[in-house]
This record gives sequence, C-alpha cells and structure tokens, in this order.
Amino acid sequence: MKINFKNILIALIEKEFKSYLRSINNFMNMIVFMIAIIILFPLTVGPSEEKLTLVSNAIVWIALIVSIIPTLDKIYISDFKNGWLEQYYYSPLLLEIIILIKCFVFWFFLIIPLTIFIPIFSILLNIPFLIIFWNIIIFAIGGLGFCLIGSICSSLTLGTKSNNLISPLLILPLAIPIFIFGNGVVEAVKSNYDPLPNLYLLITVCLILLIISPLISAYSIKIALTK
Amino acid sequence: MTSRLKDNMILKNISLTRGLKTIFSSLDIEFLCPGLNIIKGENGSGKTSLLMMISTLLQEDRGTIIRFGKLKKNDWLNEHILIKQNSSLSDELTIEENLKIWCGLKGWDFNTDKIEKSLKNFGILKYKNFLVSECSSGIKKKAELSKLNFDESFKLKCWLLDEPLNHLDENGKLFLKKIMDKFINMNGTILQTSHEKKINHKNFKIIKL
Repeated sequence: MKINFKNILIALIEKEFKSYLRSINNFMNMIVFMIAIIILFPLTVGPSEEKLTLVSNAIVWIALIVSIIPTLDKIYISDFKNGWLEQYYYSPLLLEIIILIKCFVFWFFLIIPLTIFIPIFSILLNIPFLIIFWNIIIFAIGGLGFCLIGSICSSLTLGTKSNNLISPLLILPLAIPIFIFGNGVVEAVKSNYDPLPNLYLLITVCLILLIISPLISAYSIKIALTK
Repeated sequence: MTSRLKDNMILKNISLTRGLKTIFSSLDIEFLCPGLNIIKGENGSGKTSLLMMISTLLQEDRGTIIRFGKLKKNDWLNEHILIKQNSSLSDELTIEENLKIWCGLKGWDFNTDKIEKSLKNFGILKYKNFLVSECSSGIKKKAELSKLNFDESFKLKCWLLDEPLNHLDENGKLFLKKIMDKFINMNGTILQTSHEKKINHKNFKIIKL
C-alpha cells in the first residue's frame, strides 16, 4: 500500500499544534509562576540595588527553569494515557523521528514564547540590554536542550505511578551542562571576554542531546508500551 | 506448504507472562485465514493479551508467531489495525480531527469527505465537531470503529478487534457486521474477542482460551 510520508508529518504537526492551542492554560501557568518568582525575589533580597544587580540574571534563569520543569515531564503522559503513543508506534515513520518532531514542536510552542517574556522581566530587574540579548539567545538554544532532556525523563517515567517525584531528580543533573555553559556566556559578556567559546560548547551539548535523546526516548517508550 | 504458511496466522507453543502471572503456556492456535476468528474465554483468561501479543504490543516469552508467512515487524505494523476496548482518541481534539490525524499518521490520504462518509455510515456525522471528552462511550466506540470503514482499511491483511460490540447500539452492530463481512470477502482476517453467544457471520472459527 502507498504510504505518504508527507501526510504523516502534516498530521503529526497538526495534532501537536491543536493540542497545545487547546491546553493554553499550561502555558499561562508557566507565565504566572515566573511572574510570581520574579516579583517575590526582589522583595526578599531587600531594596539594595547592588545586591539585586548581582543576582538579577540568576533570578531570571531560576524563574525560567523552575517554571519549565513541571511541564517537561509531561511531554508524553497525555499521549500515553489516551493511546496516541501506540498510534505513533504503529505509524510507518520511525518513532525516533516522531519524538524529534514532538520535541521541536514543544520547543516552538513553549520555549520560544517564553523567551519573548525575558526582555520584560529583565527590564523589571534592571539587567543591561547586552545581557538581555545574550540571555534570549542562550535560552532559545538551551531550551531545545531542556526539551530533549525532558523527553528522556518523560519517557523513562511513563510506566511509573509517581513520576512527578522522579522526573525533576532526573532532569536537574542532566541539565547542569546547559546551566554551566549558559552562565559562562553571560559571565564572559559581563567581564568583556569573548562569549563565543561557551556558546559553542552549549550548542555542542544540545547537538549531542539531539542525537541521543530520540534514541533513548524511543527505546523507553517501546518498553513502556510493550511491558 | 510455503503457500499455506503465507496466508496463515499460526501460534506455536506460545508462553506469555505478565508480571508474576502466567497467562498462557504452550498455546497452539491456527487461525482461519481469511475468515472471522472469535476468541472466547472468561474474564482474565488472556483474550486482550493475546491480541496485544499478536499485534507486537506484548512480547511472548517462548514460541513462534507466524504472521502471514513471517512478515517483517514493520510490514506487519502497516498491515493490521488493533482496535482496543478503551478509546484511543484524544480528548482535546474533535472526532473528525482525531480520525483525520489517525489517517495521516498511517500515511493515508486524509480528506474531509472520506472521514465524513465513514462517520455518516455509522450515523455519527452530526457529532463530528464535538470534542471527544464531550461524547458518550457509544459515540466514542463508533468513532473508533469508523477507522475500519476507510478504503485503505479494507486493503489490510488483518483486523484485531477487542470487544468491538461493547457500548454499540443495534444499528452500530448491524453496520459493523456489514463491514466485517465485506472485509472477509476481500480476503481479510479478523480476530475478535467477544462474549456474545449469538454469532451472525457465516465463515467463522471459535477459539476458546
């Protein structure tokens, strides 16, 4: 029978697009959470501008990461519950490619809109424009890395009942390289060094994840489906 | 012998365990191909597990399954449909979108006319724009079974149906029988689990677990 691979891609992207559009409250939750952290932090640090300048970049990063982590481990759970992961398994397209597309769609619909909010929050915390610019780039690239790590953790915990507890524990150690190199870029910019070496290392981490994440995710999804 | 194997589905000396429970041990079945195979058994006797194992969603511990002359796994995945007892439709999407995307994922054409025709045959065309979460279990079941009513579905080798008659009304049952007969006439094989006593089909084999 003739199989049209273009149809598979269109169907997959359409499904993800509609699912995200109809669960927009997830995205709003993330934003509200971020706003809460960014408003509360300066209140607890105190009115000293010096102290705030020291930690302001860290606040934006922590707010972004903490608001993303609860959604990262839910990439596959709804598809697993209502049987769509099985349909992906039966699809003639390789499961690895489907996973890669899902990660890109997740990145496009959750991470990219979040990066739009970075300048707004950064202005609130009095962060210089140059650093805001680099933060957006780092977060857009590192965000893809987070999605790919989320894909691994989400698929590994599919069969477990209490995946809410395990996922953050799995995500954080894997995300450390992204934190280190991302922060390295900002530190280099702050002290007038070349930020590119750290950026290249960040891109390398994401590229490595791009290769290993779909393989591990597909393998663990197959285990979860066939156990 | 080779040509016989090519059209047949045979289980040889199959053992299956799930967790600590042994579901089958040394199970030998030769299915009627083409034809309707009705799998009967008490609750918990492993009917659904058998279908899932044939569909490769469960891995047998021992034995061999000959699926139409040892089809490669990927070819087999493209040559059959498994309709499970629980609905596998996404709650966030409408019935029409669910079927459209399902067809797309199979690599088939998905135009609105085709899906509307299939829904109309099952008498649920008016629910096409309803979100699945708003539909009753009967409508969900009919939407699920509409997957069998596409032209491409009749060209497949095998349908695996897990309790397809659950939640269906009389009209739904009649239409399902009609498409099942059409599929068998087109050299298709159906493996169906059922608790129904009365069977209206002509060419069938009952398999007791």
